Amino acid sequence: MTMMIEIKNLIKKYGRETVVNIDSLRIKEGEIYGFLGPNGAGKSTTMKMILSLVTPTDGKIQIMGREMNDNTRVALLQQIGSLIEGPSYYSHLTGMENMEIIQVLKDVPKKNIEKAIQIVGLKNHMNKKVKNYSLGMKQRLGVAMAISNFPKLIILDEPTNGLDPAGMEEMRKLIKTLPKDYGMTVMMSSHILDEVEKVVSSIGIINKGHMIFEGSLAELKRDNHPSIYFKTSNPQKTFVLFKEKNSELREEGVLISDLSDSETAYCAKKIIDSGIELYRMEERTKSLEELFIQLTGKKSL
Amino acid sequence: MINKIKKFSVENKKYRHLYLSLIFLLFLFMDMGIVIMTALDSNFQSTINKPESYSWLQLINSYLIAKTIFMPTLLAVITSRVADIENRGDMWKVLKTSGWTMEEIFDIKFLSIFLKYIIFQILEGILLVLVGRKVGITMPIPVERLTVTLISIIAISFAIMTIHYFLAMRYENQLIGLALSVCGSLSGIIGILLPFGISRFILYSYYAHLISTEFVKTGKDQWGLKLVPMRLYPLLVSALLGIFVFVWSRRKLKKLDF
Repeated sequence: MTMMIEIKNLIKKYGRETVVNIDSLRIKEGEIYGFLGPNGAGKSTTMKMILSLVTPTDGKIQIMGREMNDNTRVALLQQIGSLIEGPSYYSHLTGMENMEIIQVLKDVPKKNIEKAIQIVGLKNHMNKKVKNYSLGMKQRLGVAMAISNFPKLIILDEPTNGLDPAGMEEMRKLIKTLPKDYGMTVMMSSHILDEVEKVVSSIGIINKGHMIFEGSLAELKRDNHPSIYFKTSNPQKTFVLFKEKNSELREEGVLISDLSDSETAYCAKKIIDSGIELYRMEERTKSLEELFIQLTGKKSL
Repeated sequence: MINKIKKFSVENKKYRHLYLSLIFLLFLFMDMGIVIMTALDSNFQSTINKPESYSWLQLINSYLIAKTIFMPTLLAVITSRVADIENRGDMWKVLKTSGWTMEEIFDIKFLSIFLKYIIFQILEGILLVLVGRKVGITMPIPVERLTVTLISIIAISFAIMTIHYFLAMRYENQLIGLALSVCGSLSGIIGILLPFGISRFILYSYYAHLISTEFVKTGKDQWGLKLVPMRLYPLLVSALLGIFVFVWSRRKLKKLDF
């Protein structure tokens, strides 16, 4: 499959501080890629380097098979839409005037503008000055600007920021339709991991500038064994049996993390052999949130 | 070329609702206000059209004083308005990711406001002549001096504009440029009172360096006006300085990360 974005040994330093040091990042054509990481992990800086808003200290960025440099920048950017660190707009102009400017800037036909406005659902607010928009409406306008040239690749930094639950749901639906209906590849970052889990097909997790996981959600979950909950007649005694392992005492049982099938069988046998009654065994799959905390050591929100 | 015209037109579209024309108009009223006050002064009226009174030059001198006081503020306000529209909505990123280079943004923005300023300056030149005629100056217009003065004003404003333009583009805090303009006006006025050797180093006082007459003692308690040769260094120094600041800041901003 064609790679939409391919990054190799990308480094960004500010003075002596290295803020991004990514060995590899690969986004396939047509996928929705979730770019996750705690605050200050280097997500926005990486996205800005992809868009050549920030000059990398070292490394290589290939977009659609072409290296991003001064010679290819304009041609490549014409095929990319982006929304970085919140929406951009001219607050003293109306929504429509903003879109008219985007039309000239991106050199796209008027019908594209109309379609983009319709997709984000802002049709009835286009004659209002943007300074009077709610944050959610500004976010939608930002997305409309980003998709107005119907690019092959769209980069969205925290696209659900400032949206209410209904708005988030709409945004999620919109993002899902982009690859399917318009053939776009989406790279999105988010802190709301539940949202990402529902939308993305693959993810990259970055922490302190380093990529610590890249692959599909299924791979991430497969590599991290589920936890097993053992409901027993004596949770305290059960907990003592497995205190060497990654276990947690619960009200009616014990939760043990990262157990393979054979380890699960061994634990069950050990409980029974110790004369404790084993009432129930439940597999608890880790949410993306839990995996994220496990990998980065930080709460996402 | 078509691309450049398109970009130029989009830049002007952004200026809707910014009231730039109103700002220019306000400063035009202030400049002309000072000229009209001079023209209606009884001393001026009593000596009007006398050869030794240099009526036209007196009017031009008052206009140059108005420029010293108001021009830095006008230039700072205009440059700050056009840069701030990009800062406020963080539109730099959209511009750059739409395939514009920082140099293009820099050139087109500067050209847009500088052309507007030139129109304003020509309009003021015409108004100056009209005011002179209206108050009764019948002597021939000193075309050469007036032309050199207006071109020099444009050159000085160009140099000052490049400084304020750089500050407005580089720093989000627009008060930096505005504060400098106030200091510039003050230093310009103070510069008038200082010996030329010193005030030559104060760009903001260059408008006043274009003043064409000076007072000389003609007798006990009697003063008269003396014509001074046209000074060309404000034009030359300002043009060179302006070009230097323009090229330097263009390079400097090119390297800026967003």
